[in-house]
Amino acid sequence: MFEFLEVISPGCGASFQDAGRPGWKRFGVPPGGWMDPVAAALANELMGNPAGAVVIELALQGARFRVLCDGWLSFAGASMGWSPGTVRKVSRGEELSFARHESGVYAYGAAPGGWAAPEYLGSTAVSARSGLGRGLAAGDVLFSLKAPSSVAPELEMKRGRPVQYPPTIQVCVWPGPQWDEFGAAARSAFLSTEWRVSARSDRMGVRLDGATLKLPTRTMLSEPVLVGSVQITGAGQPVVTMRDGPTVGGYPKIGWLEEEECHRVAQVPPGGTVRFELLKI
Amino acid sequence: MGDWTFQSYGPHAWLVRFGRDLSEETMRRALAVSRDLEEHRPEGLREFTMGYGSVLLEFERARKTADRGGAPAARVEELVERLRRLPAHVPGGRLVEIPVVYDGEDLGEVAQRTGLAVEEVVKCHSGRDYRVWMLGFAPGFPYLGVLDEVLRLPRREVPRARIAAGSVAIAEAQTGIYPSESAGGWHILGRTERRTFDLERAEPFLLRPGDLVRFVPVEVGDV
Repeated sequence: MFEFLEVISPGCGASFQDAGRPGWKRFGVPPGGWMDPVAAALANELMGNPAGAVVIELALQGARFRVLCDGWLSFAGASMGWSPGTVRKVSRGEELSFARHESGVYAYGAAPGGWAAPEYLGSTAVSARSGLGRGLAAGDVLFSLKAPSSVAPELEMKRGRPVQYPPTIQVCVWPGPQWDEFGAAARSAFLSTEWRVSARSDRMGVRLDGATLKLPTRTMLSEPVLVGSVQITGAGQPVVTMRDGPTVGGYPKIGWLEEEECHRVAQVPPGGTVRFELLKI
Repeated sequence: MGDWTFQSYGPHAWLVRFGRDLSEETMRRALAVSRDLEEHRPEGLREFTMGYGSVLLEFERARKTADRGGAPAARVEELVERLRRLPAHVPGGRLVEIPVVYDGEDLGEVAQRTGLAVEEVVKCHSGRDYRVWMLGFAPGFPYLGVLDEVLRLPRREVPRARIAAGSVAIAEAQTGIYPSESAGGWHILGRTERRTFDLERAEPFLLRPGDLVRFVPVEVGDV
């Protein structure tokens, strides 16, 4: 292990993530893991790391690090001060600041060999709400598994295809388990509303504002929830269940998003909008 | 298939329902289903999650786009048929005692809304053993049932942003124990030092479906 970065500030949120821990849902453990696997994979690929190597996930903006030793870093995903999809050499004493939010929500940073991070139930993915690790905090020292300077110099020229994260998107939605139980007016409002992403969104769920949907009259027993489910809360607001969301819940689910669509929603910043288009089965 | 139904939940998952109430019969079916899936994992089943009277079956994703939207329907029907024929499991779980200090922030409101005295709320809540129906919501969170009818209240209209680990709470016909600090909408009656989820323990999960839980009132200092 090699001392590489020191956290000055985690900003809006910074944590170790990997592909998550499938197989524990029946114990109440959400799958967890990177909110945008595509961006995380690019960060690792740029560094020449195995696909499942541990990355740091930064949310929105504000994270700052001090470089403790010369070495290579890659970042991909949201744009917040480091040109996404690039590798570059950083120098001892340098301060890395992710204070300039431009697009997206989640950015991923990879170090040579991946980051050294503790495992909980077979995964390093931090899920603070679940009692599985904690987010990064000021003063934390981050270690890379390979020497920070061990990367081949030709990597410097390597660039990923930059991914755009528009603040306004349309996603395909499958009817959820309770689709038929919502009234016609609620279903039509769900599909016609341009939903605004709330600032109260996090790794558990992306909350949407814009209309109040009338709930089905029949109350339901708590039942299992899939990541990607669009639940309608008691107040009639949609929440797109994300990777740290509850495994079981009592809110009706009007829709469900495939993984790829879910990543796109995760990268819409607060104030951005999402529209749902129903998939015909 | 009688009162067993199943519906697709996206293209790779199916939600099977086998009970619409929190009856002993539903509980027995649930235990039989989870035990069977644990011991005889069907091919291609990636994960299963229990609900009250329901189970979510997540299958490996179909590779070919042509398979989208229904590849395993016939297989699911076969599996549901198998589960339906299982002999109802007679629960024989362990009895786990949970010492509780009944000083929760919602105790007074629960007493007021149910028309009981605070002592009667405590007596009623601790006066019966509860079965662990499932673990869900958060790691190790036990859904316990069923609650005496007089204590049944809907969830709080505005969920609390922060509920302390170890909080013992009720909602509708269920009671539970918050394993770690989290947000939540249940009414808090008290707290316990027993942790239902602890990574430091050899067995991180204190409870399993089918176990019985008995809440034992204790005074501050006894915990």
